[in-house]
Amino acid sequence: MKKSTYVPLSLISMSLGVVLVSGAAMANDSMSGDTSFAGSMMKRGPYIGLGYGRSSADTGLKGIVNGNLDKKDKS
Amino acid sequence: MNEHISLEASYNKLGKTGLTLAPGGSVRVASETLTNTGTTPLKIGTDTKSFGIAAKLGRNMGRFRPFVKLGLHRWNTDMTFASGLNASVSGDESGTDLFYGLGVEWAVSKAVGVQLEYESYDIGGPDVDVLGVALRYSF
Repeated sequence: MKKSTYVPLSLISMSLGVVLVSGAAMANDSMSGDTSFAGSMMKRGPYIGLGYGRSSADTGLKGIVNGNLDKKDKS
Repeated sequence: MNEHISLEASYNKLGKTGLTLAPGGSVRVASETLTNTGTTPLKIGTDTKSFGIAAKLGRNMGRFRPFVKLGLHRWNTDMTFASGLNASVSGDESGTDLFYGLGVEWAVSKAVGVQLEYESYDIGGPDVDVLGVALRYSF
């Protein structure tokens, strides 16, 4: 097995979005009784997100530095 | 109607990599092939960031919401090269390419959701594949 000098990638993402169309809005408009199901649905409007992810070293290797791995330093 | 459509902008730190390239060895960094023509090992470091915008389509299924998204992102890879003689140079490469993702969100409440997501970013040919979790808050 080849010894790799690559480090795993840590990925952080921040997002800002807006829901343009949602079933929740229609359900809230039309349902005057039980809204428990509609309440769990994503409503129209803006949202923010924060994420964290991991990618294996080999996957990151393919993504950012790839090719000729047999010639790389194995120390 | 249970679908929802959203437009999402995102900033992503796609991570850092590092390697030591032996004399005579070569690697492909983004779209460029680099060869170490020196007599000492060459240390290469990369740091990639991207800014993307995507259309996201989901379907409400109770508290779960599977979704897919497709977008364009502008990526930039900063590169540093250092030899064993304490000499170093730096450069960068950038481009605009496609990315896509799919996942499922669990609605904790109407305003808060936790999602598990797989994303794949094309950065000039090769891809960076990501598996991550994210917290979403709706206003």
